[in-house]
Amino acid sequence: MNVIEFVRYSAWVGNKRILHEIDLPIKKNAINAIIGPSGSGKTTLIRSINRLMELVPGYRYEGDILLEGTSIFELDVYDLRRRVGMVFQHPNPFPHMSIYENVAYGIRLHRLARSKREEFERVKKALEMAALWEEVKDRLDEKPGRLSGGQKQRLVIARALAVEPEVLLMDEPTASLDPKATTRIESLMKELSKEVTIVLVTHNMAQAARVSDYTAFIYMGRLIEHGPTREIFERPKRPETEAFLRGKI
Amino acid sequence: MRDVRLDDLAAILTIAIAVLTGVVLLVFSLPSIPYVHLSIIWDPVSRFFGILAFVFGTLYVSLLALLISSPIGIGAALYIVRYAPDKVKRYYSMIVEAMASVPSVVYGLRGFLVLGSFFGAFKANKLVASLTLSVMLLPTIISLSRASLESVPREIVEAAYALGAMKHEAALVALGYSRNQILGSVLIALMRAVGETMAVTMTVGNVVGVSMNPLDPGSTLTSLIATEFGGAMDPIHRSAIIFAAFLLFVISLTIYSIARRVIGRGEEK
Repeated sequence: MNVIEFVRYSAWVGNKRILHEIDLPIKKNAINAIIGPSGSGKTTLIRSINRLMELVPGYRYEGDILLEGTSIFELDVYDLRRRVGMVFQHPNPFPHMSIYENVAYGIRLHRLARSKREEFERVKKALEMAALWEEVKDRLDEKPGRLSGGQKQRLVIARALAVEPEVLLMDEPTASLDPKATTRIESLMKELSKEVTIVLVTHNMAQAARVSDYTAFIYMGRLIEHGPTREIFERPKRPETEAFLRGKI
Repeated sequence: MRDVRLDDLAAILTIAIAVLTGVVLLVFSLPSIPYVHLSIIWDPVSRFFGILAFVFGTLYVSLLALLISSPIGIGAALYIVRYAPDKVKRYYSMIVEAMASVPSVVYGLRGFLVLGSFFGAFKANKLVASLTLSVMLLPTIISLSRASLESVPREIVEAAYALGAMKHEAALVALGYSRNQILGSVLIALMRAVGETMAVTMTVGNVVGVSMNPLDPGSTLTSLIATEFGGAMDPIHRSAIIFAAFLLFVISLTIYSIARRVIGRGEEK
């Protein structure tokens, strides 16, 4: 089943066309990887899903993106962003808030808890889902500044999960982490994908091969090929895909 | 290596000048120390120099001015950084910079003529001085707060948006992120307020007294120095005024070091 569907979706920033008529399904409760060389439009694609592109001056689009069959452009944007969470390349917890407040931020924003108790339970659950609870349960009131990079990234994953999104967008989530932290995040992604649909942008092909169920290859703003990850990596149909996999693009 | 040594030299020189200023003020105020009292009575004729009314006036007028200009200044900075379209942004900075370049005597005159008229014919009192001062503090608060708001990393604001924050909620996150820097800019403005002489002297009324009523005239350390130093013939009187200047120096330095610490704490993130 497709949670998200790109329908002849094109995007421009100013006069520059970034994406060309993308038709792409995002499969439910799976890890959907988007790979491609830098500058190919991966980030624009993923930032279109939660309409974060609308912060970019000069952005416009044609075509449509459907979330559970409804155009995201007809949804209330704040509601859309509750249903579609995001994790960024650099771990970006709010440094002036405590670990607890970071996770509670979205819960408070969307008024999802009716009591302090319920809020705490939600924060705890999110931190558990992000495999961080055990490490921070005794210092929830501390600022996140002293956490390691990998812990910070799991904290912002918890922050995103706390509002119970259906989809989690991850834009190069391990690009600034060391190999050990990367492995943790990758196994976390696999665990999470049982409950949440994950869209993973990565320039790391090995990572896409390791963790994703489906892979889409984007090149120069066009969707070149899309399918189950194994097929893409073992039997690419298009010469561009093959060239990219061999490191020639 | 050469540059580093030059930098060090400059730093040492700056500190030396500051220390020297303090020492000079202290030395010249020494003769008056036996005559200076923690009192509100200032009587040069009988050599009784109570300094309290001026310290009170300085803090009263400065803090009231800050109370008025901080919300306006921080709000304006937030507006420029997070809301204003580019065109407005450009003109806004021009106006703020122009405001900063107006000599304080002009603000003083304007405060006296315009604000003073609200309270009867050209009245001078603490409120008029504070209002005048608050306008003068705006450029400092706006430009320093603006700089700190602009230094908020994009991904922090984006994180708030991505969680479903509305514009004003994302702006609050930016404000929270830079709260130490903004508090620092308010303290820097306080330092300016404490030291401002011309505009305050022209509007505060120069009556020695301790009254909480903002509509009563008052006196500040700066207005004391400006109005009495030139006419003081008695060397002890002169020395007492220099002591007021020394106090002013100490108060400013204290505020400055607090501001530095507050800003420094914000940078540790």
